Amino acid sequence: MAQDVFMDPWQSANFSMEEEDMGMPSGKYARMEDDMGENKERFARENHSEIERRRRNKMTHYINELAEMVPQCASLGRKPDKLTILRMAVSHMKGIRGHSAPDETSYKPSFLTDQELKHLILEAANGFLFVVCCQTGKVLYVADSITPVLNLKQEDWLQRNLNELIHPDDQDKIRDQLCGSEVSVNKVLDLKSGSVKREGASTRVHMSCRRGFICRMRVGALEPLHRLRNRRPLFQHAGQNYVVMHCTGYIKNAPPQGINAPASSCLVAIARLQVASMPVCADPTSTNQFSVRVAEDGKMTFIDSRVSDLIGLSSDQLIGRYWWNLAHPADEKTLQDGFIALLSDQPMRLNIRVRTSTDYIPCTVSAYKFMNPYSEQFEYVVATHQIAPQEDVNNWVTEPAAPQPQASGFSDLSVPGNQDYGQSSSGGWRPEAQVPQAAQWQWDPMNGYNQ
Amino acid sequence: MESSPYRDKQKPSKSQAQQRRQMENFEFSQLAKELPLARAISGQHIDKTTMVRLATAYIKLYNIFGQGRRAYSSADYYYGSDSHWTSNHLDLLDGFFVILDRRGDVLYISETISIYLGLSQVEMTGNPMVDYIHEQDINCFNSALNYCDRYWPQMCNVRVKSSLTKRANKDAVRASPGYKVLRLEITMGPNPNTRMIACYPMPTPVLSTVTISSNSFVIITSIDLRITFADEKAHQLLRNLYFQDSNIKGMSYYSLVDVTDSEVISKMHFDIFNLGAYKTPYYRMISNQTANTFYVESNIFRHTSVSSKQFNDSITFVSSIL
Repeated sequence: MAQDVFMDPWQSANFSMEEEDMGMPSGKYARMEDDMGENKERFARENHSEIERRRRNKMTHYINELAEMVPQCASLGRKPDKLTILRMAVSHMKGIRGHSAPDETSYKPSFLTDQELKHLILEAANGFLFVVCCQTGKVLYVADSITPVLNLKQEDWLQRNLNELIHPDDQDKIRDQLCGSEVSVNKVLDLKSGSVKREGASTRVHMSCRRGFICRMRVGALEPLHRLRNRRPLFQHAGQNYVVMHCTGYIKNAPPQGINAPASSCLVAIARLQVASMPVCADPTSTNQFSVRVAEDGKMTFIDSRVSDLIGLSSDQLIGRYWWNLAHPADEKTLQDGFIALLSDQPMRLNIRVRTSTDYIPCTVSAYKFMNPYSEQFEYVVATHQIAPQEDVNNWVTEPAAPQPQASGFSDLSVPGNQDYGQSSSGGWRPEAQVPQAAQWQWDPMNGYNQ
Repeated sequence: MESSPYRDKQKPSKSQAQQRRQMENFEFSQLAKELPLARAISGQHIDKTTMVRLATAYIKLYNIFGQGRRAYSSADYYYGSDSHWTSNHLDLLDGFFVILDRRGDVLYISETISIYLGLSQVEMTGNPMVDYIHEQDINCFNSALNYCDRYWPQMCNVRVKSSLTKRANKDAVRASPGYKVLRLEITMGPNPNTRMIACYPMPTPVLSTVTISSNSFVIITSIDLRITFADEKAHQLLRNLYFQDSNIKGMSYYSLVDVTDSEVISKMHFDIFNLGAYKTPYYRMISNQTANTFYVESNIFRHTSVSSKQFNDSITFVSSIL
C-alpha cells in the first residue's frame, strides 16, 4: 500500500475523536484491525472498502482545495475536472518556483527560501544571527535583523568586543561559553536526589559544541521597539538599557566561509528575545498602588518596593510588623477586623487612612486570600493599597481596579476545578487546625535527601 | 474525452478510464517534481493525496509570503552579503517553526521537527495542527492562537505527539507516553490570518537525570510546593538573612515568589500534573525575604518514582536568573 511509507509510528490515543478526520494516516486503521483480534477476518473486507472510501473522500477534499488555490482554475468559472486541476496546478507551481529561484545551480528545494526563513526567525522568534571569535571575543558577523530586535545597527556590533555589548555582570558567563567545553558549562541534575554533577564522559560527543545560554544585551532607544515598550525586565547599567536574550548555537573550529578573520574557533549563534515570556510592566493606573503580603498571624512578610515612593516608609521598616500597624490608629481596628473576616472567606475592600513618614493619607485596601491550589491550605493574604492622588483627596471616589491587559497568556484560560487534582483535602482553612511549619515536612518522603 | 463515457458504456469506457488514469498519473509525477522537497524524499514514493496536500500548502504559503517577498526587497533591508548564512538558521535554534493558516492547518513546518519529535514535514504539512496536540491541551492551544495579535504574542505549554519518547517505566511514570511537552511561542504572521509558532522542546530527563546550565539553581518541592530540597545557591539567594540558621526547606514555594507573579506559579501548579514538564514565563522571586526581587525563568519537572514500596512524587524547579 502506497501510504505505508508515511505510516505514523505512534499509536493514536483516542480513536473516537479522530476517526472522521481527513488527515489521519492509514497506520492507525491497520492497528485497529489488530486490536479486533478474532473479528479480524469478518471485518477485513468491510474495513478495506471503508478505508478506500475514506481515501477517496480525502483525495476529493484535497483536490477541491487545490483547485481553489490555483488562480487558473478559479478563473475558469466552472468546476474543472481532476486532470485539468492537476495540469494547472503543475504549471502554476512551475511559475512559483521559477519566481523564487532565479539561479538553478544553488537551488535547494524547500518550502521557504532562505530569506523567508530569516524573516520567519526574526518575526516568530525575534532573533538575529551573530558570529563571535572565541579567542578575542570580537563580533565577526551580525545579521541586519538585529535592528528590529535591539534597535542597533550592524555597525554597532561589527568588530566590537562582545563584552561591550552585554551587561557587565554577564561577562564571566560569556567567557565560559566561549572558551569552555560543554563539560564546563553544563551540569547534570538527578531529579531523585537533587544532586548535581558535572557532565560525565558519557555525553554524546557530537553535542559537545552545542551552546545555549541567557545573557543581557544592550538595546538602543526603546521608542521604536514596540515589542519592548511595555515589557520587562529591562536592566539599567551606566545609563544603558539591557534586555534578556536567549542564545543558542554552536562552536565552530574555524570562522565560517566568507568571513575574513584569523583562524580561530567561533561561536555561531542566534540571539532571541522571548517577548511572550516577558511580563507587561505596570500600567500607569497602578503606579500609585503597592502590594503587601500578610501571613496568617497578620504580620507583613513582603512589601513591594514601590511603598517607599508612595508613603515614604521603607519596606525594611515594615516587614515583620502587623499589617494594621500601617493604618491610622483610628482605622487599625477596622483593618484588623477586615483581616479576620477575610480569613473566613469574606472579600475585603476598605477605605482607610494609612501612615506615611510624616502624615496619614487616604487609601483603598483590597485583599484576597491566596490558597495553595493543591493542598487548599492557606498560603498568605495579598493586599493591594491604592493611594488616592493628592489632588483628588477631597472629591475622592473609589474606582474598581483597572483590568489587566490580556497579555499574560494565562488570563484567558479556564482554571481546572479542584477535582482535577484527584486527592485534594476536603476542608477549607481552619485557623485552629494549622500545623506549625516545622512539623509540616516531617511526613515528606523527600526529607531524607536533605543535602 | 470527458463527455464520451455517457455514449458508449462498456468497453470504450474501460480503456478511456485507463487512459485518463495514465494521464492523471503523468500529471501527478509532474506535480511530484515541482514539490519543494529534497530529492531524497521526492524520489521515494509519495502517495497522491500527500502530493496534493503538499502542493496546496505550498501554493498557500506562496500566496502569503509571495507578496511579502516583494515588500521586503523594496524595504531598506540588505540581504546580499549574508545570504550564505541563512541556510543554517534552523540548525542554530533549539526548536522548530510552524506556520498555520486561519483554520489551523500547517502551511509550513521546518524539517527540524524530525530531530525533536520524530515527525515528518511531509506528513504534517497541510494537516490540522491540533491533530498532533494532546486532546487535553487543545483548548489551551486554541485560546493562545486566538488571543495572539500583532503586539501580544502568546505562549503556552502543550503536549505534542512524538515518536521519540520512551515507554513509561517505574522511575518515571510519564503523564502521557507518546507525547513531548513543547513550549510554543505564537506570533501573528505576515498576514493577520496566519500564526507563526516557534516550538521549543523542554529538556527531557534521561532516566532520572537532566542536563541543566551551570548557573541555574535547583529547588525540589513536594506536590503541594513545600520545599524539600534546595541547593546551596538557592539558599544563598532566598534564605532570610535576619536569622543565622534560617532555611528555606519546609517553606512554601509560593512564599518565595513576588505576590504579583504568584499567578504564574499557580498556573504552573495546575498544569504540571498533566504535562509533567513546564517552562514558566519570566517571574520575580523575593531575594532573601526582603523587598527586593529578581527575575527568573524556570524549567519545572515532575518526577515520580517508587522506592522501597513508597511512592515518591516531587516537583523540581531549575531556575535561571535573568
